[in-house]
Parts: sequence; C-alpha cells; structure tokens
Amino acid sequence: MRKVIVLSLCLLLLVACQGGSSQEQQIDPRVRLDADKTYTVEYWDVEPPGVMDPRGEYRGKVEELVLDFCNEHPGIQVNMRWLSWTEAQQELEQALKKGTPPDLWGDWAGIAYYHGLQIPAEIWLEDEELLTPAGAKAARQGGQTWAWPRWIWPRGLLALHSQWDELDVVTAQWDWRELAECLEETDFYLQINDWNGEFSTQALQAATGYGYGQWGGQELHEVFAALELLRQEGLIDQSTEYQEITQGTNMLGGFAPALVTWMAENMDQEEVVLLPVPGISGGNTFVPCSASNLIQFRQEEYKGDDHSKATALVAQHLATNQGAVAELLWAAPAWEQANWTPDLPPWYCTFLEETMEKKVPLYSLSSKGRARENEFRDKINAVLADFWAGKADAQDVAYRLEKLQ
Amino acid sequence: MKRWLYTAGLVVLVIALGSVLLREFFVPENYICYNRKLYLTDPPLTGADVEELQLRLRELGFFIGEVNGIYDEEMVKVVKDVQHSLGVSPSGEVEVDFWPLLYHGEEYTQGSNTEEPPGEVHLEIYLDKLQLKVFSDGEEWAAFPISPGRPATPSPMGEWRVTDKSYRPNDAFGTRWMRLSVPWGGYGVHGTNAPWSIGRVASLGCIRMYNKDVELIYPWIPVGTRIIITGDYDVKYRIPMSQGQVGQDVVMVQWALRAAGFCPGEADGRFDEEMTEAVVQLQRTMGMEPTGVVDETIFWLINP
Repeated sequence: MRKVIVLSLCLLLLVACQGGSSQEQQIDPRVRLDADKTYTVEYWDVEPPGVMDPRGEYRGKVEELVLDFCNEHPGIQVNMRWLSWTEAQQELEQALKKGTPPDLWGDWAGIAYYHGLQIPAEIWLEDEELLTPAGAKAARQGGQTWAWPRWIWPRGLLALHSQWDELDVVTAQWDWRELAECLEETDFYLQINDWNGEFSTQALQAATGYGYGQWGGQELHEVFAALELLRQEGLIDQSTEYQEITQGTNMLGGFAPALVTWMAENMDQEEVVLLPVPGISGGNTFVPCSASNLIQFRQEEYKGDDHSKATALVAQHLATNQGAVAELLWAAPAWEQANWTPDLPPWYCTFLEETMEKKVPLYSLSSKGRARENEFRDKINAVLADFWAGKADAQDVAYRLEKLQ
Repeated sequence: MKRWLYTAGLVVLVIALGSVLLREFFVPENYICYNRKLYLTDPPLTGADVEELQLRLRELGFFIGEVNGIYDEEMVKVVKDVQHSLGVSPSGEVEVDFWPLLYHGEEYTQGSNTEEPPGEVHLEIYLDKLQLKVFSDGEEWAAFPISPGRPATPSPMGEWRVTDKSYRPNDAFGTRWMRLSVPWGGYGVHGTNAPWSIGRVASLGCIRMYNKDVELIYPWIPVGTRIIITGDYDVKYRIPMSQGQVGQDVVMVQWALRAAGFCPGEADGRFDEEMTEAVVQLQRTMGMEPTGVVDETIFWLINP
C-alpha cells in the first residue's frame, strides 16, 4: 500500500513537472490584446556581412517591414537590436542562460528549435498551407512547427553562363555520369571545397534527401563511387581557388550561400548560373538547401499570453513579407504569398521556384542537433582527405562515414 | 628713328605694367622683390637684397650664418639647398622669380576655423585632395592644405595614432612634429621650412603643413589622437598574407575586410590576431577552411 502511495505521488510530481516545463500548453492563442496597453516587443536580428549583402540593404529592408507593422498596429512597439555577424550567436546564448532572451530572434543558422524558452509558431499558425514545402520543412522539428521560416537558400554548382551554353545540356535533374561526360567533352573540371564535408554533404543530400546522421546503404556507396570516378579521371580539383571561375574552365561546388550572392552581385548577373547538384543514376535528385527562421522566445519572467500574441503578430508579419529581403539575398521566400517579385535572372528564378516547391531535402535542426552536426563535420575531414588523396576508396569512405554517424 | 622710339617706349610700358600687375596679383604684399640677379662674383656681390635673402633663409631654417649682406660661396651652397628642396636645378643663382617662392605661404591665410575644437578631435588626411581636416566629435571643424609624399615615397594610408609630439627649431620638420604609429617607418605630421612645397606632392612620406597651421593645431592634438589617411595610389600586395606581416598592403586588406563586414580592428598595417580572426570569420561564412591566411581566393573575394 505504502509503495502504491509513493508511486502515485511520484507520478503526480512527474505530471506536474511536465506541465510546468511546457509553457506553450498554457498559452491561449485566442487571447485578445488589451487596446489600452502598449506592447513592446524586443526583436534581435543580425546584420549580414558585406559578402552576403553587398549593397548593405538588409537592415533597411527589415526596418521597413517593422515600420509597416508598427503603422498597422499602433499598440505594438518593436524595439530592434542589431547584432554583429560574428558575435550574435554568443549574445543569444548568454541571454538564454540568463533567462532573458529577446521576444523574437532572427536566426541565420537554419535552426528551428533552440531552447526550452521557445514558443512554437504552431500555436499561432492558422494556415500552414501558406508555407512552401521547403518553408514547412525548415520550421519543423520533432513533429512540431517551431519557427517562422523566412527564406530558403538553394545550393548547387556555380558556372559561367557562357560556359554552360557550351555544355549544352538541360539539367533539371542529372546524375554524376552525365556531369562527367559534360566535363570531359569540354575539357572543364569541377573545383570543389570539401572542407568539413561541405561538398560531400551536398552530394549526399542531393542523392538521398536526408541530412547527416541518416546516410547509409546503397546511396552512400553510390555517391562516393561516382565521386571516385570523377577523381580518378582528373575531373575534380580541390584547390578551392574560386577565382579561377573567371577563366571559364571550371565549375564550383561545395560553397556556402554567401558565395552565390557575392558572385551574382560582383560579376555580371547574367553571367553566373547555379546548376543542380547531380544525383545518382536512376534515383531522385533533391536540391540541398539551408534556411533562415524567426524564433519566438518567452522570458523566465513570463510577460503574459497577450504579450506573446503581440510578438507572434510581429513574427507573422515579418516572416510572411520576406519577398524583398529574400530577393536581396538571392534566396527564395518560405511563404507562398511573400510579395516576391524578384528582379533576378530568369534562370535563377526558375531554380528558386523549384527549390520552393519540390524535392527539398531540407531537414530542420535543433541547436543541439546543429552542435552534433558540427562535431560530425569536424570528424569527417580526415576521412575525406584520405579519399581525395586517393588513400581510401569509395567503399572505405562509405564504411567509415557510416561508423561516424 | 621715331618709330623705333615708340616701339621701345611701348615695350617699357608693357614691362612696367606687367611688373605692377605681377606684384599686385601674384605676389604677397609683405615681401621685397629685387630685380638684381645674385650669383658668385669676385669680389662677391653685396647689398640690401643679399641681406634680405639671408634673413629670409634664416627664418626658413636654411641659413645659420651671419647676416652680412655678402653673396659668398656659403650663400651659393645655401641657395643650392633651397633649389634642391624646390625640385629645380640647383644653380646657386638667385633670379627674380626665385623671390616669390621664398614667401610662398605668407599670403596664405587660415580660412578655416582657428578656434580650439570643443569636442574629441580626430584628423582625416586626404592625399588626393592635398588636404587635412580636423574633426570635433565627428563634425568637420577646420581644414588645411598639406604636402604629402611623392609617388616614389608615398604617405602611409591607414588609421594611425599620434605617438609623440615635439617642438622643432624650424628645420626640415618646421616648428612642430607629431609622430604617427605607422609600423614600417618614421612618419609624422609636421611643419616645414619649404612652404613652397605645400599644395604639391613633395615630401618623403610625411605630411607637411605650413608652420602657422601646424602650430595652430598642435595643442588640439593630444598623444593618442586618431589620424586617418586615405588616398588612391596603387599598392603592391604580398599574397599569401598571414599573421605577423606588416605593411601598406595589410592596411588595404584590413579596410577591405571591414567593407566585407568583418572586424580586423583598426587599419593599422599590422596583421595581428584580431585580423586573423576576421579572415577566419570570412572563411567560415564562405564555408571554407578557416586558415586565417589571406590567399588568392580571399584576396579575390574582398577585392582591396
């Protein structure tokens, strides 16, 4: 009997604790804002470096959106804080530790879930269908929509348009063998950056549709077998001297989204093209992507459901009106109706539209997941170095990567 | 005969008029213009003009002998020095057109603000505009003409600090000297005993000012004052560039890194840890191996 009482008490305690930690369950999305009250929403965002925003317009565009919102909602004031690219993450982590994060955080790291103080976007989302398929993937983590996605960046292979004309191939979907044939025919080569597995990861995502930790079996082996073929035929160069693209004899692979923006802004826009990362023969090909989200937090000292709702209104306005910002960054918006009328080269718009709609292997991450991914990436350098140096074959690499995951 | 006389008269009239106009419009009021050519003779030429020349060259710091009105071998040597600093052929002879040069700058009046700036002072020097500006709490306060370095000996572009200051006996550095924190040489902002060089690129890399200007701003500028020098001359780059390197090319890369949105610290020509971190951040943003070295690719991306 005594045991039963103790067990019951423990069970009760457990249920009580669970209820306390999931604050979102207590938030009533139907709460009304107090018309006599002024809500002050703290919004932190990060100023991207000039290589990503060469015209320095990001801040202005976001502030314009905030101003539009405040004009429409006189009872809600938005306090913006701009953080530097290099120190932003640290600032947020410190604020989270103190229990005083901002109400709204403009994330650039592709993270959907950060912390126990996060309020899931799902509470407020009335129509998730307004999200593009890629946007929906970017915001979900563990079966829940946690974030307000802003924009999606596709990855691919960069080439010069003139060079591409010479290759004369349509590549809505292509495989590594087709790429090898193109390169051989034209005497071009593929220049890759595989630091921390940047290029290999994209190749695996394109072939499997999955992120790290989920690669295995035939697809993993086939991707490395294809890359081995390219390596053996001397079609891959690992020097990462991106500037050689201007000579028109190479394609670039394994770069971050910043390079696309930089190249497009600094070279003739019509001259640079982004080609899809090839898939494996006979399989599906996906477009590797990364995303940027808005994250809503509450503080240890909870400000009330009405305050959370005011924050959610700001988040919704900002997230769903990212068209101009996405265009600035050569990205695709995460929402169907994002006022996106890009003045970008037609080939790139087509690529972005494809990115928004289908075949996106984007898998959202929690901050812990991102930390684990970074650890994993650190470990694969040695394996990949052996592969590119010809010291390990495709089978070895696939086997060692499977073990590392 | 009559016609010849008319012509001669006309020529004399034109010369006289020209001389008056020259004095009136092109020559400072307070100097004496002598018509006699001075050169070495035996016995040497003497007179008030030589005495005046000696006095002026003493003021400028070129002549330290006795003012005796004698144009001797010592004077020839001094005049040659002056001509050398003027960039003209050192003949040792004083022609009429030599005199205005000796008084260059005397006619210059400080058109800008001569009041002491009330706020925190920093200087900006524009090599291409041959101008130095004083700022007070970020607002432009006063502007002065300068003489920066010649193409072969360019002034150091960058963000410097005044490291020490001193009074001078009106030698080649004029009456005041303020040293800059340039790590590859002894550069400063100073006065000059060659005022004719102001408004031209003439120095060995320092920033020359009229003595009266440098004397005015000297008390405004404590040690540690920030001095930003900008220009547009070509810089030779040493790539790859890595921590420990020092030079003008480092300054240009620091500016380019900052323009690209990264923080290499002040553009002080020193490739230090802070600059390495900025390069690493750029490499991370681009998804590249974070080596901290400015290689051809980084150079291409930031395009200094």
